[in-house]
Formats: sequence, C-alpha cells, structure tokens
Amino acid sequence: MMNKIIKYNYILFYWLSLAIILFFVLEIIFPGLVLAYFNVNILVFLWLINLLVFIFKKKN
Amino acid sequence: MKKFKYFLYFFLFLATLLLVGLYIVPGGKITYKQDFSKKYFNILGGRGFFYKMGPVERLIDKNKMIGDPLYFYVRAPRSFSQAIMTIKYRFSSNDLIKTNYTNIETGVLLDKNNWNYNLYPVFNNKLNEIFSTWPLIKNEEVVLAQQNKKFSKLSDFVEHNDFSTSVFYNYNLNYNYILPNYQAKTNETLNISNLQGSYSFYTYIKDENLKVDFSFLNKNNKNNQALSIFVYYQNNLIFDESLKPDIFSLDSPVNFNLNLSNLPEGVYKVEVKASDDFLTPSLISHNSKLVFINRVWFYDLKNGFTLWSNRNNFKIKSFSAQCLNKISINEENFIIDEIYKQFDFSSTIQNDLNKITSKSCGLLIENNALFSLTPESFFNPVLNKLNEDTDLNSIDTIVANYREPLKEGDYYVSEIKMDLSSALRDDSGYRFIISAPFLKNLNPEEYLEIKEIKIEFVGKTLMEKIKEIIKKNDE
Repeated sequence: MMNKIIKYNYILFYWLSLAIILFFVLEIIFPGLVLAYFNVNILVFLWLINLLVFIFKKKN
Repeated sequence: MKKFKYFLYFFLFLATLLLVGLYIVPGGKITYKQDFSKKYFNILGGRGFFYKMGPVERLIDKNKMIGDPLYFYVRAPRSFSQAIMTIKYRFSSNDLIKTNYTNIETGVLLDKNNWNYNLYPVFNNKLNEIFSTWPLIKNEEVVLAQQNKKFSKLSDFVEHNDFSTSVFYNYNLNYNYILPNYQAKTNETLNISNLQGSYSFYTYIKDENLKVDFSFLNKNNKNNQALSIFVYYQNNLIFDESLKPDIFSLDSPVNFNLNLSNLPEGVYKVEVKASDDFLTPSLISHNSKLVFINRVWFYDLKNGFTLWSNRNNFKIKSFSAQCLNKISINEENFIIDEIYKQFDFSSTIQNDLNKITSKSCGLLIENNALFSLTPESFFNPVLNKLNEDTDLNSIDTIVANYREPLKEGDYYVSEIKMDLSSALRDDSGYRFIISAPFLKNLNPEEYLEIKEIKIEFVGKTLMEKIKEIIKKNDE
C-alpha cells in the first residue's frame, strides 16, 4: 500500500514539475495567459508538499 | 498506474491547447466577465482580465464609485475591432438621479499622449425622462424625440436645416453651417501666440484659402513623438501632415504653412495633435473667424490674455507658481492660488459672449465651450448638445444615439457597442473609462455601484487572418 502511494506520489511530482515548467514557458511566450485563468501558486504548493513527502520518506 | 499517468499528461496537453486557443481566439469572439460585488477570493482562479480599477480614492468597497472618472484595464491577448460592454449598476439612492443631471458614459482610450477617450452613453436621466413622455421615431440606433410631432422621419428633420430649437446627444450631424453675410477679409490676420500642447479650432472660409502659419517648438530634446496636423470638413479628413521629431531642435522653431485652396464655403476643423512638450509660439490665421474647441493652454505670456467664450464657467489650472494670478470672468474675479489644482470657476452673469481676462503668464482653460481671442473672430458652428444646462421647455426636438438601460430589480443594465479599430492596446490591454460627472464631491453617501461588467470582444477569426496574410504576400 505504502509503495503504491509513493509511486503515485512520484507520478504526481513529475507531472506537477512538468506543468509548472510548461506554464512558465507559456507565460513567457503568451504573457498573461496562464496567470489570468489559473492560480499557479496552487501547483507550486502541491509540488512543495510532494517534495516534502519525498524528503520525509527518505529520512525514514 | 499507467492509466493514471496517461490521464494526467493528456489532461495537461488539453489544458495547454485550451489556453493557447483562449489566447489566439480562433473564432474571433471572446467574452470576459467580472462580478465586482464578490467579496471572497477564488483560490483556484487566476487574476482575471479586469484590473487596476481606480484611482482607489474614488472607490469604496472596491466597486462603489464616489468620484469621477474611474479607469480600468481589460487584458486582451490580441487586437479586436469591436467591444460589446454590458454593465450592471445601481445608484446609492433614487434621489441622486432625480435631483442631478445624471449622465454616465464609458469609453476606451485612443491616444495616450492626449488621454483621448472615445465615449459612449450608458445612462442619461434627462433622455430617459424624454423617452418615456415624448413621441419617438426610431431609426436603427438613432431616436428622434419631438415635443410636438412635426416630422415623420429622421431624414425629414435632417433636411429641414433649422436646428435652433433642437438638441443632439451622441449624434454627429453632417450639415453645412453657413455664416450669413460673411465676407473674407484678405488683408487682415489673427495673431495668436504661446499655445502649449494639443489644440483644435474651427475656422470659416468663403472664396478664400484656408491659410494658417504655424511656428512650433519642441522644449524637450528627449521627446520623440511626432506632431500631427489634421484638417476636417464635415467630419471628413481632408488634409493631414506629420512633423517628425528629428526636424525639431531646441530653441529653433519649425515653421509650417497650412494653405489649402479651392475649398467650398463652410466650417473647417483644424486639429494640432502634439504632446505637452510641443509649443506653438506663433499662430497666424489669414481667415478672420477662428474659435478654439474646448481648451486653450497659454504659456510664457508677458501681458496676460483676453478670451471670449460662449460659456461662463471653466476648469482652470496653472502649471507654474509664477503664473498664479487672478482671473476675471465677466468682470467677476477669481483667484488661482495653487499650482496643478483644477479650479472650477463660474460667473453669475451669463452673456452670449463671455469675457475672460487675466494678467497670468499662462493657464490651461477648459470647458465644453468655444474660445476666441476677439469678439469679431467668434462664431458658433456647433449644434446644441444635451447637457445639464439644457432646458427641456425651450427645445422641441432631440436626436440621440442612445439606448435606454433595462431595469433588473434595483439595478440598471446597459449594453454599449464600442469601436476598437482606433483604440490603443498595449501590454496592459485596453484602458477603459467610466465617466459620471455628477459624482464630484467624493461623498460616500452618493455613489454608483458597479456590480458587473461583461465585455465581448469581436475581431477577425483565425481563418480571416490567415487569408489576409496570404493575400498580402500575393500582392
């Protein structure tokens, strides 16, 4: 069960990383596009939580 | 596990496609809407398309306007040709619209140098009253209201050519104003000196050339904007010239002689569009009639000035401490004792032609009025416009390009179609204005609550744009 959660966590982490990079690039190419529709802080917040989970897991 | 992974990446791909689509607007139409009465923060939502609503000191509770005017930006990812704005609003109390002349207008910025807005009517209490009591003839968007029905069609009214008891609102009538008994004075000139920034004036010609000798000076060598001169006849542009900034050097004036021949008799509008850094040390008109439209801005005068105007109330501002002085309107004195402050002065005497004199070295004088330097050069070719001074008992016809707002409970809903083809769109998007001059006291008890604004932008579709590019390349 724990392994499954960690695997999902990995998928989510890479997906969130890609989404943040993609939105960053989109924002540079089309200024104002992403930020007008979507609060990117949520993505960054979720990405940070994922990262903390990894760090916590590694420590244990 | 894999399905979940593919689902996430597919979702991201779709989201990217959707966002790019919303940016390009391939269908040519997109609607942005904001409910300004919402007080909670949408944690998932972005920053939206409406922003920088202000100045903040003219707003209470973020959406109640207590001062005039109010500005806001709408982010637009690309250019559009038309905007259909739907605005939902209400007044703090019904007394506000019963006791005042309540005229609300909205518009879009055309020119950042002169802060020139193209305004469209939103609400007018005098017109609402007339529309509910006088018989109306509607011709598309234009309404002809008559106290006593004389005309059955708008075209009949336009052709009869006597507009002395008529009032116009948001309607430009192309008519040929003729000054009775006018004769050209070829050997006389009108000399006007030391004007600053942009200005426009009407002049009248009959069997003579339209001849004005300008001298321009650029007081700021960092100013890289051009100075443009336009001449209009019956709202049609007949001449334009742009003086590029590189021909100007500091302290040496550039002369420009406007000389147009073979023109029919009538009124011509000359417009000088320039930033405030441009000065006109000398303007010599060879035509005897000349009236400035809405504003005159003098600088560096040695002996003050005298002006004549059809109005007796003005907004006056001084930009230099040395020029603080008194000004007299119809022999009533008013003191200008602060720089950059806009003073509203009104004489108790109203003449057909009102005299304004001051020993000041330079002032900006503005109003919805005409100004001449001598009583002889004054003439008024402007049709009567509906304003707070309009006495409904003394007029019999109103022509208005105006749609009455709808009523939804306490709220009014107005739909305004705006032309964006000449509007300015920069990195911030389009800049809009809401003008409500009756809100002049910054009184929190008297406000205009803006509940919701919806803007539908209409422009070229992606296919039309591609076809246009292909066509251009073929040529």
